[in-house]
This record gives sequence, structure tokens and C-alpha cells, in this order.
Amino acid sequence: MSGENALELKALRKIFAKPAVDDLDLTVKAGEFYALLGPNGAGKTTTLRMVAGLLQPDAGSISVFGVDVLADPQAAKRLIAWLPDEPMLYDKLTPLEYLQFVAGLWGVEAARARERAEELLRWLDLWDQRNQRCEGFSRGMKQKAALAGALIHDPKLLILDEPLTGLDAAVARQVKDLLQARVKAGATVILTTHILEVAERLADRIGIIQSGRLRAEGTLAELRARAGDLGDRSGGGTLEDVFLQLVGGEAA
Amino acid sequence: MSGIALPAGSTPWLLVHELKLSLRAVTGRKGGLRGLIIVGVALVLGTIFGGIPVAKMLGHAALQPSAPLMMGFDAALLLIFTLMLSQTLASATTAFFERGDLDLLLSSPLPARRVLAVRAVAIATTPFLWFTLFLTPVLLPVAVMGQPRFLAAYLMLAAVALLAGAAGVSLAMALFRLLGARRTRTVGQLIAALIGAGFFLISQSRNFLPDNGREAFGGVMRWAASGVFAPAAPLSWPARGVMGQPLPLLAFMAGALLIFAAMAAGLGRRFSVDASMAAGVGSGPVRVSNRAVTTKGFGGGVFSTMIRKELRLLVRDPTLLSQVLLRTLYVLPMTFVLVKSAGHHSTASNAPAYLGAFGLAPYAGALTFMAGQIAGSLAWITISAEDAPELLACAPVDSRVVRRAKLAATMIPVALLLAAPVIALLVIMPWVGVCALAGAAVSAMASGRVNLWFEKPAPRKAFRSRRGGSATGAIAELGLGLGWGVSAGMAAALSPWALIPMAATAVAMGVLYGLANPDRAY
Repeated sequence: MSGENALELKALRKIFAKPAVDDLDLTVKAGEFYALLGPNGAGKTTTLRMVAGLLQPDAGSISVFGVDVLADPQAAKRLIAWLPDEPMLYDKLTPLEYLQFVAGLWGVEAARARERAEELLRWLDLWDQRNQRCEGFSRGMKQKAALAGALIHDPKLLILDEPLTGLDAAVARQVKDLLQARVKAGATVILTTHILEVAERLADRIGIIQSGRLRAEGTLAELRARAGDLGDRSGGGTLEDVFLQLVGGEAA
Repeated sequence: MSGIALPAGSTPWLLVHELKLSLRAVTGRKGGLRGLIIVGVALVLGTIFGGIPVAKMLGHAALQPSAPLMMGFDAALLLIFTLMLSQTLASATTAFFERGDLDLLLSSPLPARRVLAVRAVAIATTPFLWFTLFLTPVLLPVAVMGQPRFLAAYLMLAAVALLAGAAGVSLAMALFRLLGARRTRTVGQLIAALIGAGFFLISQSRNFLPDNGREAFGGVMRWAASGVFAPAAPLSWPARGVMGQPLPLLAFMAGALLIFAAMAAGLGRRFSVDASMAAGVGSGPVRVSNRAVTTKGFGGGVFSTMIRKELRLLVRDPTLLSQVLLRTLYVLPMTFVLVKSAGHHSTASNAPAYLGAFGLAPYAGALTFMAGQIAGSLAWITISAEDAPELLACAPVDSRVVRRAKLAATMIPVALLLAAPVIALLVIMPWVGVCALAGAAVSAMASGRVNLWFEKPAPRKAFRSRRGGSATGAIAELGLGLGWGVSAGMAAALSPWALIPMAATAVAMGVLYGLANPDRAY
């Protein structure tokens, strides 16, 4: 991990009917695997959508690898890949055509994109289906095709919102392996998940958000210690115990 | 609580449920009430300016069944049947895929033939209601003001709708058996479009025939005059039913009911099999052409990448293809006449007399109008129907480039479809050709712009019909198409008055721009 910050949020705020994100400060270092946890409606997705340039914040600043997302969104978007829980796919395109399209949007050089598409489709076991339209795919296959799209331009920052929702064990394992490989290769991964075991096993650091504010942050050991300070006597409890202690019993 | 308790699971019970859902789909839709008010006003105006004058003309005159009258009524019934069949075939095909509650019904203990019968009645109800609405402003005053027997036309209309429903469902299921579920989706829509344009194409067929169809037309007239439409002849029975004669009316209705019941009984079991086949269509592999196996196609800028993607999606949309085909079918006879005339012109020193600027001017207007309509059909789905708006929003691209590319993607098919008639016009009469070219370009761009201004972003699946788009946008598109069409036609005829519709249409565009939706999905 380098000392550079991949993501820096300062006093970020977004208000719908009530504040969804409320003066949020958050820093993720380059090369880190960061898990953002929180109960439903805590502001996780809103925060990440603002980082991806899909929502305009009401106040605060967002910086991705030193690029101000609000001042120069296009430069920031070149560094980011966004993967929501519902795959952003075109049913009538094949995975290969989809990758051609995404590579075109991100301006990936043709030879590199071709090579990368084949590599990704083979890695995700979609090479044999490269010529079939996505409309016939299972949810897992669609999610894998969307993941390939997110990785075709070698993003420095990969943001995933509930990427494992609805996936079977085999596909979930493939996705987790791929994410770990990306972090080893130097990329930064930020993901939200309700599956606490995933955060526990994969994340270097975990942030817990509630009512739009960061309640706690750190490694699993640091969070355990923090929960202990708050009165958790379970000692070496699981992340679930720690999480419930910190958010006061609200479900993840 | 309903007043009459129908036995649960019975055909009438299921039918009431189906009709209730259809009614709620109309009244519950945003703007549904406004739509009903507009229809009501149109009915009243149609009655005052159309029906009442006709009724006064007919008065209490005792209409005697004559061969021309019988032939006219039969032809009208046949026309209505083909138009209804076009709708029922399209609805039957989509009903299998847009499943709605089909899975629930077929997984219940109700017999499949009952589900099929009710679904077919529902399919037939929509065209029946449309034609009832369309004919009522004339039929009702005629019946009330001296010719009550014409009320029988409503019963005949219902019988024709039942026949069209039975035929549409049977045809869709025959296609399933012949072509399989996936191809039926596309072919069914295309055949429906062909049937819908059938009468128009037949009426224009003389343009395609060697002697302008004189021989063929004469043959038909000789056959018609040979007594086949004599009042007592079997072919006159449907017409006599329209005139309220009890026996032909009852016979026609009984025949329609029998055919419908036979269809439901005979195809019920097959229906559940076909429906399950259609359900599997979304989950099976769909291969595209072998050319796509290669990894060529990478590279190019955002603009060309967007255009390539949009054109691929347009070509793979069966509903859209049928809409475009339908419009193309209306352009075909015109194209044929113009190309034939251009051929004459290139071989003769003078163009035929009927091809003067005034004779050709309407073609410039028609092509301009058609360009707007085709561009509108394409732009509506290209611009508003976006399956992955977030992908475009989070990509490092200028949203203006994306929108321009989407607009450009709609112009390419329009240019291809209208190239032949426009080139023919340029050859025959360059000024008219220039007007057609400029008019078509402006009209197509205007339709595209309207779709940009009034886009209603939604996934492509939600755009199975024009209902998914903006009503204001659709009306604006039609109005602008007419405005530019009239302008081009008048300009082609060298009329200085062309400036008036041109200016009015330009002002209308300005007003529409002011009303444009400021929220963009990407």
C-alpha cells in the first residue's frame, strides 16, 4: 500500500427528505480493500453514488487520487469503476459487444481492450458465452459480465455496491477472488455488503456508517477493541457482534 | 363488493377479472382521465360534424340490398377484420412474452382452455372497443335518426372481433409450432404489420402491375358483377347482417362464436405448452451472428461506439422492427411510382405530363412527414429507452456527445429507408427533390429533438408500446411532421405561402423547447 489517498471525503452532505449523508469524513488509502457497512438506509449507497458522479452532493468535497470529483468529474471517472447490485447491462448485447461498448466509453486503446476482454471473459468463465446475448444469462452470469465491464479499463478505484447479492457460492467465490487479485495488483476496492463475513475475511479496514455519519472505522481488531470500550464483554467476538454493538442492534 | 356473485373460477368470473384489469390499465394510467376526456370530446365533435349530416341524408330511406351495397359492406367488414387481426396477432404474440399474470393462471387448477378463451376475449376486446369508438359518431345518429336496424352493426363488430381474436391467437400458436418461440416474437410482429398494411398495399397494387392493374381490376369487377353479391347469395349474408336482417345476423354471430369456442377447446392444451416455451425464451442462450465471435470491433471514439451500440439494439428489437416495417410499407408504393417515373425520365426527353412540379409536390410533403414519423419511432426508443443509464452517467464522457450519438443513430436508418424515393425525385424534378431532401432532414431532426426534450427514461423492456413514451412528445412529433410536410409540399409547388406553415412550425418548435423536460438521466 502506498501513502497516497485513493478517496478522500470531507464534510460530505446529501439531504433528501432528511440528511442521507451528514458531514461525512472518510479516507481510503491507495491499494486498500475497504468495506463500508451499515444498516439499511444508513447512507452507504448515497455516499458511493456521489463518489461515482451519479449524485451531486449538497455540500463537502470528494477527491479521488487527488482529482476533485466535483471540479473535474470526467478526469475522476476515468479512474473509477462503479458496480451496483443490479448489473448495468444491455440484454440484447453479447458480453463481448458489451465490453467493446464499455471500452469505447472509457477510451481504452483497441489492442489493449481486445486483450483485456478476452482475459476477463476467460477468467470469469464467460468466454464460451461471449457470443450469446445477455438476456439469456442467469443473475450470476450477468453480474460477472458487469464485473468484466467494470474492470475492462483497469480502474484504480473499484466501487462495488452489494456485489454479492443473489449470487451462488461458486460465483460469489469467483468475484471475491477477482477482487482480492485486483487489490494485490495495486487497485483500491471499496465495497458495501450486508454479508459481514465477506468484510471480515477480505477487508483491510472497515467503516461503519449510521444515519449518514461514520460511527467507527478501523481494522477488525481495532473495531473489536472499540466495541469492548462500549461495553461488549464477548471478547474476541465476530464482526457481527461488533457491528450490532456499534449500531445499537440495527440489522446490517 | 360486487352486486352479482359469479362462481369463482368460472369463465365469466375470469372474464370480469380480466376486463377489470384492462379498464384499470386505462383509467389508472397517468393522464388516463385526460385521455378519456379527449376521446369524449372527439366523439361529440365526430357526431355533430360527421354522424348527424350522414343521418339526415339517409333519413328514413328504405335501403334495399343491392349488389354494390352488399359488396361495399362486405369490403368494409373485411377491412375491419384485417385491421383487427393485425392487432390481435401482435397482442397474442406479446401476451406470451409479457407474461403478467399468465404464470399465476396457468399454475392454478383452472383448465388451460378457459385461460386461453378469456385471454383471447381480452385480446379481441381492445380492437372491438377502438372500432366501436371510431364508428359510433356515425352509427348512433344514423340508428337514432331513422335507421335503427344499423344498431346490428355493433353485434357484427363484436362477432368480427371474436373471429379476429380466434384467428390472431391461432396464427400466433401456428407460428410457435412452425418457427419456435424466439422467432415467433419477431415474425409475429412483422406479419401483424404486413396484415395491417394489407388493404393499403392492395389498394396501391395497380402501381406495381404491368398495365397499372387494369386487367386484374377488370377481372375482379367482372367477378363481382357475376351475381356473387346478389342479395340472396351466401357472400351477401355478412352485409345483410350489418343491415340488421335477423337470420344473417344470428347466423354470422353463431358462426363466430362456434369458431371461437372451437379454437379455445382445440388449442387450450397447446396454449399452456407454448406459454411455457415462451417463458423459457429469456433464459435460454441467444447466439448472434458468427462474425461477433471475433474480437474485432474494439476501438473508435465515444461517438462511433455509441452509434454502433444503438444500431445493434435497434436491429434486435422486434417490436420496433415491426413499427418501422409498417411505416416502410406505406413508403413502398410511393417509392415504386417515383423510381418507375425516374426510369421513364432518364430514357425519355420529357417527363410524363402528370409529373409536373405540382403533381410531384405532394410526394415531397409525404416524404417529409414520413421521415419525421420514422425518426420519431426510432428516436423515442433510442433516446428514452436506456438499459444502463448509470453506466453512461459514470463513464468519463460528455453527455452531449452521448445524446448527439443517439440522435445520429436514429438518422441513419431514416436516410437508408428514404434514400431511393428522394434520389428518384432529385432525378425527375431537382427542385422538388431538394425540397424533399431538406424537408425530410429537418422533419427527422425535429422528431429526434422532440424526443430529446420530452424523454421519459426507462429500461428498454418498459417500451413495448408507444404508451411508454411521452404523450406530449408523441403529439408534438405528429404536429411537427405535418407542419414540415405541408411546408415542404408547398415549397416544392413553388408557393410563397410555404413560409407561413414553415414559420408556424418553427415557432411551435421554439415553444416545445421551452416546455422541455430539464431532468436528464445522463
